[in-house]
Amino acid sequence: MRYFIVALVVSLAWFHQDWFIWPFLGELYEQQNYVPAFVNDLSEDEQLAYTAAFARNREHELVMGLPLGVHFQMFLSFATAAVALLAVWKAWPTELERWAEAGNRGNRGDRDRGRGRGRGDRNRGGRNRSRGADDKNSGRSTERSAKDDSSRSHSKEGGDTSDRPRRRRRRGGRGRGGSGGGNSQSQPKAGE
Amino acid sequence: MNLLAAASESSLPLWMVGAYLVALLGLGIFSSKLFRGTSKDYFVASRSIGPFMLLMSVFGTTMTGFALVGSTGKAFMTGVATFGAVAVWSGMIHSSVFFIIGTRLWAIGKRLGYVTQVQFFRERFQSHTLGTVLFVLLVLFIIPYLLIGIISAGKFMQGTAGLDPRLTGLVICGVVLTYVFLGGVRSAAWANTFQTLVFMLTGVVAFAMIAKAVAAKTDEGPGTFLQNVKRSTEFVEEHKPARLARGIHPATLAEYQEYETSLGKYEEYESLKDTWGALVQDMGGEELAATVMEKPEPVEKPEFMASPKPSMTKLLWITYLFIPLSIGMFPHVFQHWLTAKSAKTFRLAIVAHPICIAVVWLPCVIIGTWAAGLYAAGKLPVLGESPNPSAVLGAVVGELVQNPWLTGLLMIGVLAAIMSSLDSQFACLGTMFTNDIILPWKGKDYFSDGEIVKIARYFVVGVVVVAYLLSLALMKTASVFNLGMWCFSGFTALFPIVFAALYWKRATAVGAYACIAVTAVLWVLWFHESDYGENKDFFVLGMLPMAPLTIASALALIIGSLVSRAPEERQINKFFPNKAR
Repeated sequence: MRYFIVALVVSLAWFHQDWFIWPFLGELYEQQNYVPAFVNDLSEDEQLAYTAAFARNREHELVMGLPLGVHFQMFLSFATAAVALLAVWKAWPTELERWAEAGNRGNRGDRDRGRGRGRGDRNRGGRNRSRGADDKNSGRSTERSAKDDSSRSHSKEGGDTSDRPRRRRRRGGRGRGGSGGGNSQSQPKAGE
Repeated sequence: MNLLAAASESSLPLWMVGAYLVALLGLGIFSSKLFRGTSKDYFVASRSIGPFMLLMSVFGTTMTGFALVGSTGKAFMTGVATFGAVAVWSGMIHSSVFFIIGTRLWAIGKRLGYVTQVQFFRERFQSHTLGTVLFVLLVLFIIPYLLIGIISAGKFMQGTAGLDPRLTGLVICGVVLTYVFLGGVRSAAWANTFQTLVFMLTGVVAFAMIAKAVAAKTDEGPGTFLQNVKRSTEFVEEHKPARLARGIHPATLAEYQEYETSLGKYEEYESLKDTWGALVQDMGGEELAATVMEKPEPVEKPEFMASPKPSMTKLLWITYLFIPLSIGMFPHVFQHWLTAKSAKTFRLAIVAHPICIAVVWLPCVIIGTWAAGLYAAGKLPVLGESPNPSAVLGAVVGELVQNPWLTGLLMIGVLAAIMSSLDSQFACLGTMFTNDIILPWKGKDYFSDGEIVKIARYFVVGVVVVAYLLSLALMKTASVFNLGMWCFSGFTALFPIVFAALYWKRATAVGAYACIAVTAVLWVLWFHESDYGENKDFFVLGMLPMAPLTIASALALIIGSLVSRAPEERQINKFFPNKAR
């Protein structure tokens, strides 16, 4: 399905080059076999007028006060939205979301400064971060709910669980939990 | 041009603008009450922004004053091709970038705790220095872009209401600074939502009112809305048909064929006249000469007409797709992406973005096209002999509509479009300075969370002050606009870096450096060749400069990555979902 979506997007980009469409439409109608059957019943002059009408580049013709070229480009805008809808419906990268929510605690420490602590702790920034083995002592309050995560829990920001229920944290860790972003947790105000 | 005087003697428009600014300030202060007091909330709104607000804030951030004023001016010069070239391409590319780049960056940012692009690039390419180089480049590119906003707002208000541009700059900087200082990105998102709705409404209302006013200039006069649109466009077809097609309009072609026929007749007359003259001399008189050949009828030389060209060549039309690629490297858009509550939050933005762009751009492009017809018919004398495209929208509103409500709404709409980008840019620069310079320098353990928020706030104040002072210094310098547009090209040329960082494991720091080096060299070279942006029709091989610039930078990235040592897989696996543990 993703390849199909990509093909649709490429097609949209191709059709956007509508400068080939208008003369092409004109050429189609110039050829006899593309002329509707009823035209054959017209007089010769009427047939010529009919085919000539469609042989022109119709990009500029006004329909409801706007050139046909503008209508076509508007159609492409809505077609883009439709393809986007198909993409988010059928080709959404759900594995990406799971991966993001899982939160690789094993590799990274907490980026979030979080808790109004000024003292150094394991929450090192930068590149040399201590492992998160005792991340739960870092003052984080959040643990992911089991349905979201199969790995270890908390977010690096300590607040990425803003839209999921929190387990009560056992006190005894350092500081208070609630790094920025935790919805259900009161946060220490900045500068307090 | 003083729209206020042209519209009426009323100060209603200024009161409307004042009310809008008060409402915006109030909304900003209200939203700051939702601020949770943490650095994460200040920088990325605790990743709690929902779908509608994400759509509005990202859309509002990407739509600058160019979306209203600039699009009208561009359509005045180029016609309806502007819509397809800029708006439709932007719809396609922006949605694709949100889907391919935005969601992925959000996921990485969430998983690994980034709040700026530089943090990501430093770790992805395992190079602190590369991050610093990119930081400098991104800041250098965004500052002119930011200055354009402040200066445009000042010039616009000066043109419409006679206000001192320094006062306008001070007021809008002050309003934006207040709510960004207090609430960070969360306040910016709330304000952007309000501002986006305002300028979308402005475009639609202005379109309806201007359609009526233009139709009133036609022989049939105004009617229903559809009739007004039809009559207005037919007026353009009569007076400036070239603006109604990307290619060559048949009327223009027919006019040129008529010119060629007249020119042929004139040249024939000239040669016959010489022959006649010689014959008269030989025969000793016209009467005798008339027995040999007919005296040629005098033919007036037709006024010169250049051969018609399409309003936009095919190659140029295609290369407009490179403009919206820049969104992939905008630091302020990146920051908005990180505010999303979940990956699903992006869905509405991905789907609705093309439609939102069309809703804003189509009315403005059509208004610009109508203005071209009116100008050709001599009904917009205020534009003068050499019309300034940026003045077109104001001229149409001031000369035709003369309604203080519409004037006020237009002023609000333009300010909303400008300020919706300014607040994100200010917040983003404050975030970048804090997280990419101060914290790595001192170490993240050095400051408490509250201190980090304070530092960010100080930087926001500093950025706003510096930007305002720069705008005062450069207010009369037109080149800042040219520089701003070229800086757009810089963002586009750096797009290959973010794409490769996300999707190509083989991309290395050397490749990124090569990309940056090629971008810098070619950018400087072509910027110089374009007379530092003065030459608006500067093309490279018939294309917008950003097209070959981006292609060259992408090639440099690829070659540089392939010739350098591959990164350690275990170092970069964490950035790729299907391999990370």
